[in-house]
Amino acid sequence: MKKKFRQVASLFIACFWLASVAAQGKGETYTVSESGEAYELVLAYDRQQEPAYFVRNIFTPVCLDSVCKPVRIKLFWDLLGNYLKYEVPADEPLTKLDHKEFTPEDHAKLQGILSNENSLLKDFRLEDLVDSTSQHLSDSVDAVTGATKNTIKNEVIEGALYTCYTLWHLAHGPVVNEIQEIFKTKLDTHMLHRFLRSMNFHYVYFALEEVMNAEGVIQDGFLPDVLAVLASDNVFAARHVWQRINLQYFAKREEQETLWRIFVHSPYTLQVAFLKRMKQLDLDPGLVPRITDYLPKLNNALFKQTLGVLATQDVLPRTSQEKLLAYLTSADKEKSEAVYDAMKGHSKLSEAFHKQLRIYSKP
Amino acid sequence: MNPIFKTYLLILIFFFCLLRVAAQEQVLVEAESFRQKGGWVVDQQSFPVLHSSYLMAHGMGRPVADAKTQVKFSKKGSYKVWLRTKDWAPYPVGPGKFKLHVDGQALAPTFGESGDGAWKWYNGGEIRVEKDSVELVLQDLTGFNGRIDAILFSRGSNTEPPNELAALDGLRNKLLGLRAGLKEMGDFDLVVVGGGVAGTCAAISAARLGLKVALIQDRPLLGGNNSSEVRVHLMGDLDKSYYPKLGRIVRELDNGDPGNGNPNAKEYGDARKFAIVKAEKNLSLFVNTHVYQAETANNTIKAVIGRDIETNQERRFTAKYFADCTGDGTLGFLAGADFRMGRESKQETGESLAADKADDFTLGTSNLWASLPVDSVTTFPETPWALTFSEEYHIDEEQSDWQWETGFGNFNTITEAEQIRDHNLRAVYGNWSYLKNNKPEKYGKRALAWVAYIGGKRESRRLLGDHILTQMDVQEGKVYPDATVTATWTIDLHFPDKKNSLYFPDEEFFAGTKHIRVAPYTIPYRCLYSRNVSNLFMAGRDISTTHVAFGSTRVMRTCGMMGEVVGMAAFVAKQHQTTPRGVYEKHLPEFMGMIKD
Repeated sequence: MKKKFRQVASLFIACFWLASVAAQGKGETYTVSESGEAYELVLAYDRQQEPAYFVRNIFTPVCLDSVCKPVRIKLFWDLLGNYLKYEVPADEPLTKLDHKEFTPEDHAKLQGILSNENSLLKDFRLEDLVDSTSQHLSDSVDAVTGATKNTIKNEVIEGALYTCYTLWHLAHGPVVNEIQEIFKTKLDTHMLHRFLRSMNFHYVYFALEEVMNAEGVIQDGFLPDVLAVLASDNVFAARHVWQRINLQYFAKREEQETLWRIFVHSPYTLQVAFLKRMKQLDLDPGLVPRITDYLPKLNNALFKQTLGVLATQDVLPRTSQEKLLAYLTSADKEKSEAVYDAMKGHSKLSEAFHKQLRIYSKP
Repeated sequence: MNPIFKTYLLILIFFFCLLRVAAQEQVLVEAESFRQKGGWVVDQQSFPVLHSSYLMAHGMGRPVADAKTQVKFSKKGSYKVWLRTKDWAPYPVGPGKFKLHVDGQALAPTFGESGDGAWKWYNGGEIRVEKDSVELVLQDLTGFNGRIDAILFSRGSNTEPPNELAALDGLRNKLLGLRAGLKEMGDFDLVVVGGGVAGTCAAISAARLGLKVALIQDRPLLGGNNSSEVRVHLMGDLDKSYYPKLGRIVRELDNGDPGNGNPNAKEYGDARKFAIVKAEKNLSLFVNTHVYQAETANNTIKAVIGRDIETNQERRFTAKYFADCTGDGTLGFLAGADFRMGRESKQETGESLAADKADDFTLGTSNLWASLPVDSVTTFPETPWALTFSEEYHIDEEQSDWQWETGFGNFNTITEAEQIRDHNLRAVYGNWSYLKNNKPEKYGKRALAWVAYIGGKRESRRLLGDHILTQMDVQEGKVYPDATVTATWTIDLHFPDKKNSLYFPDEEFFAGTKHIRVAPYTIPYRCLYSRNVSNLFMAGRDISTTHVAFGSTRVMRTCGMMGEVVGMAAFVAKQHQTTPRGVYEKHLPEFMGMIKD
């Protein structure tokens, strides 16, 4: 339900974003050159007059030797030069070799091919993909020989090999550097805040690199944004933040309370990562009982890991010790053994706890 | 205490205990022995660890049909019910939920959702048995691989059944009468253990030369990784062979190349393989039989004992020669054969491609899968227990290929085969859930057509022979006097895909490789028999090679030719009443004459 809501919400946001972008029309035009030829690259702005994306109108022949066909297409990139999408005019559709128009499936496949920055097309020269002895433009993977043919088959559209190849290299070619150079002139603090809150994960990682140094210290003013990434749905970006962030930001009780709230709502894999590093924290005695209260909700693996966090704490509040003691004496052998293993080396436990540890016998 | 009183007291206690034992009644039902399996499948892949097969609800996210059976009780009364199961994906709680119904009444607990990944007995509560026979029904609730090993009914005792393996074996043996019911299957010239491509070729080759052969396979199908249960295509060339005679049986079994993980099961030619084997009058086929014990004397195997993966019927086979075509080197291991697992170091082998330090790294295991287009939009549930994917990292594929692979030293491919398969399933289901729920334009009208629950294992033990094939043998193309099979595949040593490692450190499920091309080279016969078990041949991926050389010998057409050679060697050995080594030492010209002929 929550997921559905999020999907609908993000769809709405995306539509709203596109509508707002489309509604304005302001753009800055840059003339850049590629292989000796000049072309125009447009930086489009959204309604808030923020840089939104780059777009380039392309009219290019797709050729092999002397046989060519013209293609008119618009390519879009985000502000970091990551390919976004393409558009073709309704009256000049993309066609395949036999002049058949691209089907909706072909368009979906082309979008998939162009979105793959690591496509095998990257490493092949066009001549490698076709049988050079052929006198005819076949534009088909059937002209590709041996292992290459099979490997490349998923990366191209049958009957549109040259189109795929040419467009992929336009989308991922020198234009990316040009975009990045232009972008540098636009980058400011405001944009970094925007990026950290963005749904575009490329923006998030870019901004994290900018605002966090090697020791995990965060530039003034960006901590709330970074914590928002830590609490976000992107488990990979959240893990990235947690593994790098300086733990000085979790020294006080309220900061630890925030961390614990994020922990409780995080998916399992992230919880594992959280607990690994939480051992290094001196937990506020006010937070520890909340952690011990949470133990019953954890599976055995997380239970043991959490005990590991508790065992590294210098002082454990009395209520927490009582809860742990109850596990030590419970009939649940795995839990009692886990508490014994974790706490046997702890020096500042109550006398009752020490006594129970002394008489505990492993199952 | 008065000694007479003390004696009486002891006698009294003894009789009391005897009465308690006599009052106890235990009935054990192995889940894999359920008469009607419904949509549940039998999984024996972890037999070496669990000493049993189990039943699993492999429904790719849709609850499977109920499994049913009748169980007989000799005594009426109240019974405590115990189920041996696990939560296979305790992250924190897995999806493999199921119920047990006894005569139409569901037991109160729902099983498979304990958050505990260990196999153990779970308390199912108490039932009242008033009839001689009651019906048991296993109801799967999710289609996501819930599993059950056994059900124990216990009267007169509330004690939890043992989880410790030896005690559990004892309980099984006592209550099921396993060893007491053992059947002698006969005396053979050659017993081939393992019905993959190598084993099937070995058995056919020997049978055609007139040997009395038993072929024992632990699945219902032949072909191993090339069967429709695993769906890996056959690789390695046959037409570059130094000896054109080799490869003829492989060609018969070859059903064409449908690629890896083709959604059409028929493409893999299960029926063809069966028909060819069944046509051999000297060959007896025993499917569904997992060999788990070897009887040896003086470094010689006298007999092997297998257990039916469904009925638990025990079967004993005696023979003069045995062939380990199990892939895992199971028979060699049971018989005490020297073996190696993992990578050798450069220093040890002198191979440039060897690891700097010896370690446990092995190539991984694949559970291939495929989706197909469907008429209308279908849904697939969220899978919080699976691996997590996002826009940032997911695998945008409608069908798998060889890269879907888990192992790489993160898991032991024998003792953790179940965890490897389950990790693969968590990758497949997690990724598919992401695609279905986040890319509806591409995946809305697609549904999973097939997901393998039997892992396609690449590497485990390598049994050591009189020669250990190395990278130098492979790359320098050395032709020894006992050169037999011609191998052509590249040195193809998989490693975790770099990007996959970045997102799933130590939990990789996606592989990369670098194909190092080789010219056709030959495998010496001395790689195909054990150096310390006198009557043991081997063919397949468990032959005597280094890890590096194995990277090239392991593909199935090459393995099939090894089987053909083993069949011929067994024939020569029998003719001269000698050992596999004796064939090399005393009858090599005759043996090579057969291969070259």
